[in-house]
Amino acid sequence: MTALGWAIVTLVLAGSGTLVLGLTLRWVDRKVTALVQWRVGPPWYQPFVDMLKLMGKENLVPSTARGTGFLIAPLVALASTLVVAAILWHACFRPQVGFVGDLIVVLYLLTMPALMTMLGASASGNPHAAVGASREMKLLLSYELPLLCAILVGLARAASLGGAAWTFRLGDLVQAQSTWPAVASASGVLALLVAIVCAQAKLGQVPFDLAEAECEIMSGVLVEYSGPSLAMFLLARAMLLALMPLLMILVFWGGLYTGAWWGILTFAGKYLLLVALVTLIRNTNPRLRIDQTMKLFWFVLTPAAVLALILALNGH
Amino acid sequence: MLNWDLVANPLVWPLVMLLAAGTVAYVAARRVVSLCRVLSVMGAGLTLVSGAVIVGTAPPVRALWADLGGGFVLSLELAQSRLGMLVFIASAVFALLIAVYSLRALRGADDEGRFHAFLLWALAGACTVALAGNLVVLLVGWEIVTLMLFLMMNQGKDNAAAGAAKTYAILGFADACLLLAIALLAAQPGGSANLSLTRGPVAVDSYGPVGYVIYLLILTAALAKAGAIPLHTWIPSAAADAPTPVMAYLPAALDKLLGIYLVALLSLRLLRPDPSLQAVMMVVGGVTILAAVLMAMMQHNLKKLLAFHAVSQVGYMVLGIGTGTVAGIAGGLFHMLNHALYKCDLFLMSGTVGRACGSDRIEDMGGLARYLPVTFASSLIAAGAISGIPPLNGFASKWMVYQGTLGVANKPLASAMLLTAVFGSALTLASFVKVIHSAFLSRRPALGWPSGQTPRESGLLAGPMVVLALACIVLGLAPQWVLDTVFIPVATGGATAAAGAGDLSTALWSPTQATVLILLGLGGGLLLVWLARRNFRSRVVRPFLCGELAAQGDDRFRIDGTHFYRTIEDLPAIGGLLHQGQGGAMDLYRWTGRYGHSLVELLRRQHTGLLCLYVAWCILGVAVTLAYLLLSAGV
Repeated sequence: MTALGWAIVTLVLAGSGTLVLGLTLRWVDRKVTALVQWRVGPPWYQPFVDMLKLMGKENLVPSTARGTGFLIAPLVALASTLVVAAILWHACFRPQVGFVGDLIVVLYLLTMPALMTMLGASASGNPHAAVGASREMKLLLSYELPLLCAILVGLARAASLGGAAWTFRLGDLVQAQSTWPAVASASGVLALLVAIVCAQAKLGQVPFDLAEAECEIMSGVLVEYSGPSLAMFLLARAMLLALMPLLMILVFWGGLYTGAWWGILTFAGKYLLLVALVTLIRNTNPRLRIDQTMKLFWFVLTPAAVLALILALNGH
Repeated sequence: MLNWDLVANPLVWPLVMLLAAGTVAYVAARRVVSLCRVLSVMGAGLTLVSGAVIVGTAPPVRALWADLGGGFVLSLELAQSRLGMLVFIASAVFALLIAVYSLRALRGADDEGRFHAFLLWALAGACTVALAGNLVVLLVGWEIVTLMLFLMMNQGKDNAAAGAAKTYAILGFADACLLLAIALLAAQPGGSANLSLTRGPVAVDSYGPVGYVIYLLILTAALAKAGAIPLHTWIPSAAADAPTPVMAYLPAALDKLLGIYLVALLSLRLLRPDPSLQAVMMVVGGVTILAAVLMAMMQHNLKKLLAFHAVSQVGYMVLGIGTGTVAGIAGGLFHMLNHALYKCDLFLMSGTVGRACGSDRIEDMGGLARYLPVTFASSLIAAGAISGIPPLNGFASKWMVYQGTLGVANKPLASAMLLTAVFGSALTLASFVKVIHSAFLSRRPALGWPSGQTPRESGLLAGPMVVLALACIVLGLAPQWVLDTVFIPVATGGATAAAGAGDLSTALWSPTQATVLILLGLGGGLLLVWLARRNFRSRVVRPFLCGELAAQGDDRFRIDGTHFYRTIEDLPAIGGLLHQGQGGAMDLYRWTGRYGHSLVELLRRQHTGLLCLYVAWCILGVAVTLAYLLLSAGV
């Protein structure tokens, strides 16, 4: 099969798989939240029917909007998330073969959903959305620095474990951790903790849902979206919910590649643990203000991540 | 005596043609402006054609100028190299696009004819630098470009003269550094042969400590031209008042090409840097990226904002070349080309937008996407490219710079620089989200249009921008050709580190594949929509404002982007630094001015007008000179 054919097959498989997984995780999230709040919670298929229903709804465009940008933004967000899904799952199942892009490409593609949310919000011409867009951007700036620093810790650990040069290649990172994961060290634990908080912000989950903040700015960035366009954004977010834990496992926790038959079980365990953490954080914290968020990320988490990096550079 | 070899060599023709066309345009500037317009478009076009003709065919040319004795020979040497020809052709392309843009943008301006003359001369200077076979010829072209920049900036409004003077002072200092470096280099064993740019590099320590001094002097000259911190302040100062085509032509495009070309020449053909010099370059690059982009985020003037980005992006190039790895050098040089493309586009955008809104203040803009859709689309692409959005060209070169940085042996430094560079990229994105929102997507302020008419697209203004935006896409999707033809061979010849030599053969960014996948993803999304509802249609409704009804021109519901990042200005530590930066704390020119003034005051106080005091100073001087002569003669 040609490289392009293979890429397309991967995209379709990984994309549809992540879509289903993401919506299922969305259900897990809602169910756990309901249990925490002493409610019954929705049935397992609820997120799927929500999406189907939105797809069938009418698409409303505000009169102040720039129509093209407003309608294309959610599509681009979904498309770039699909490509990230293809790259990450490929690195998970076939780490020895390079595919489309490395960690840098993934990090840049992962900013696309946020960027498209901002552009779509800005194109809607709604003042609530504009405030939301500015918050989304500041949120992105906040978590980008500690997240990157934490990822460099993963790179440093992988290089010292695998005895090879530093690399951005996801496959090499996974293979270097085949016997001993990066997280099995002081720096690795610290970096993973920082990365989890950053993932929470990247997913726009409470306590970092200030770009939406229903009770302040009426869903902010999404206020004017409805019908299929809204469904696209929500699908992209559901996929991110499935992808962020995967990224962390690939960088810090050795991926799927364990060389033993029970690798798949431990993988599932790690995955569920990370998802459970995300849900737990979301259910036990109130929303932060934007200045509190920036201070938390720049003045608490970034120094922590830098400390982890210094430890990692010294072999701890 | 006329040297026929020289005249017959095709390398000389474009230079002579440009100088002659510029002279004719200058003479005709007041009377026949239309002739100037024709000359500048034709001159730039012909230079482009001649570049395409001479590439790879024309032999080098060398003619004796003067023998100054002591092994120092001044000679006129021209030779073509891969990188030099790239700079040559790119300069001609930018000159052509700016000439076309100015046909509309400067129509009716007082100095329109002269602008075209200066444009041609500046192009002649840039081509001389690109073809220079030794440093002396390079210096001549370099000076021409500096002078033209000064003259063109002076044509601006209001405070343009002050900005131009500052520019000339900083660049003049830089050029003096270059001249001093040339003198020092020629004084070393080997004489004027050391100045050759075709000879291949020698290790920087082969001249002893002087080698380092020479390296740093030339680096200073190159970085001042390109605009890296701390010699960057002329760009933002000039940006606000200089004519937009000038900003798009010189600081955004040609000066970047030339400055980074000189850094490349210095490191790859003159003096091979050692790890300490490379570390200096990397740190300069990193600091430039971060400090300038933070300043850019705070600007309220669109041109100043772009100017700070023009500084910030230089950091990536210097960082890339400083890594000494193949990927880093090739990426840094590739970024030089990419940056010239998108920054030229963005400056042209600022000109068009400023024209439409009658102001360069971001607060006064808004709602332009509806009226200038082509400008909006091309600016969006250029903004995406400068922020490194895959799969545009800015991402391709940044990706290579990151790979190169990762290959640096000094891991703490490499980590710090990577953090700076990637975070700088996020800050750039933030800055352009603000610009795109404020200028194009937010609501139009109630004050209406300055001319009373809604703005319309003009082919002459939008055409060059479309060309540049397309170039950003093409170089992003298919960078391989230009990388294989120019940048990778140049970088392979000059890389000092073994690390990173192999990482391009196993390169892992396939833009074409990624684009196909993104397009497929878009198709998949559309398919979902189509599956869910065959007749996908939209209904236009009022925006949701919690029940408020916004009247036409009601600014209560308009959010311009100028306060998007107020939160950052209010943060502890960072906010204070930013305010100091705004106040000019980073401006060497300002500091030099302040201390220079104190020095002058001190000297002025000595001027009492008393003859005996002057005589005493003279005698003291003579005594010191005598003492020095006696001591050095060993008496």
